[in-house]
Amino acid sequence: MGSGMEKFTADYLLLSFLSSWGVLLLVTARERLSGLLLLGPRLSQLAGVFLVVGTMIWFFASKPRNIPDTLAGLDGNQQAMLFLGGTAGALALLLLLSSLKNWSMAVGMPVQGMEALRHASYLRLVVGKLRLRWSFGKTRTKAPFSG
Amino acid sequence: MEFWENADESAFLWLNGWVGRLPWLDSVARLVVSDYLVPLTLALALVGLWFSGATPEARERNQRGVMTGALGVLLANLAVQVMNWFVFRPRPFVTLEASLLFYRPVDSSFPSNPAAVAFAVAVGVGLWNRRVGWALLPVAGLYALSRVYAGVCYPSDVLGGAAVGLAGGAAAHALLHWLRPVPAFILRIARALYLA
Repeated sequence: MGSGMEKFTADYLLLSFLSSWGVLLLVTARERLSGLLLLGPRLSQLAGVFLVVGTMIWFFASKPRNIPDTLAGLDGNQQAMLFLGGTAGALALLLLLSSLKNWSMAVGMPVQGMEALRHASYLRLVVGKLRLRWSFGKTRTKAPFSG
Repeated sequence: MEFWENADESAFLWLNGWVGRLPWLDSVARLVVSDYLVPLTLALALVGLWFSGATPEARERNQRGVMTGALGVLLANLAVQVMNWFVFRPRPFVTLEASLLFYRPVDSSFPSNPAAVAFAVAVGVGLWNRRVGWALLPVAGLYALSRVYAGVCYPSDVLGGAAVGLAGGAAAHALLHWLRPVPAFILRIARALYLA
């Protein structure tokens, strides 16, 4: 029973990760968040739909899944935790890979929040912000002694 | 009271009586009633909604909808747990001759927790984005209906669950309005991280 539950947990985590990845591909392409794109917008949407539908078919068709949580199934809290883990993993990987792919994108005008991802990659924005904070902090500490 | 109980049982027996007549419908119901398909679909809808919005203002409304839906689920779940301390209703397959398409749950039949959760998401989101809310309501309704068809809930259980979900979503909306600085703080942090 123990290994059955572990297998089910692993399957659900994989389902959460891949289907979240699919949704992220789909929605970032639809919303034209170019800094997060790994493929062209059309291909990205297609890959997104394929991932969501494909992983659902795999999960539900590969084995019987109507199993109570008292046996090898998952209760609501376990599902929520695994889903959050899978989604966080998918988002982290997407941010990393898209940053590597789109590093050379121009940062352009300073825009607040997610809107900035229309023009620049994620890590480039974060690095830029950290640099700005660092230089701003240095000028602030120097100012009282400069004159 | 007895009239309503009889009507509830009759409605259950009529709907559950269709099991076995249309094999394709049974297969669909087995899939929909699963503990995983609809909850996962709703969760994925929330993920997608967080990143959606043509303008920053529209996106912020969607993100507030996501927070309201998620809090609605927590509140609806809590309400069901509290109600189950006082009310225990045996599942229909215990007292009636039912055809089962699902495993035999051992918790109280009333109110239906899955119906409460699904309706809480639909209403919580719908209070910020009507279009998406209206799209999620049939999903929640189908999930609730599948519980009756599959033989694990009475119609009144899912109606009670839906009412708890509606109340949970509305309460979450009111609570987040009252605690305005909390969602504003979450959005500010997420915006600083370029995630809102």
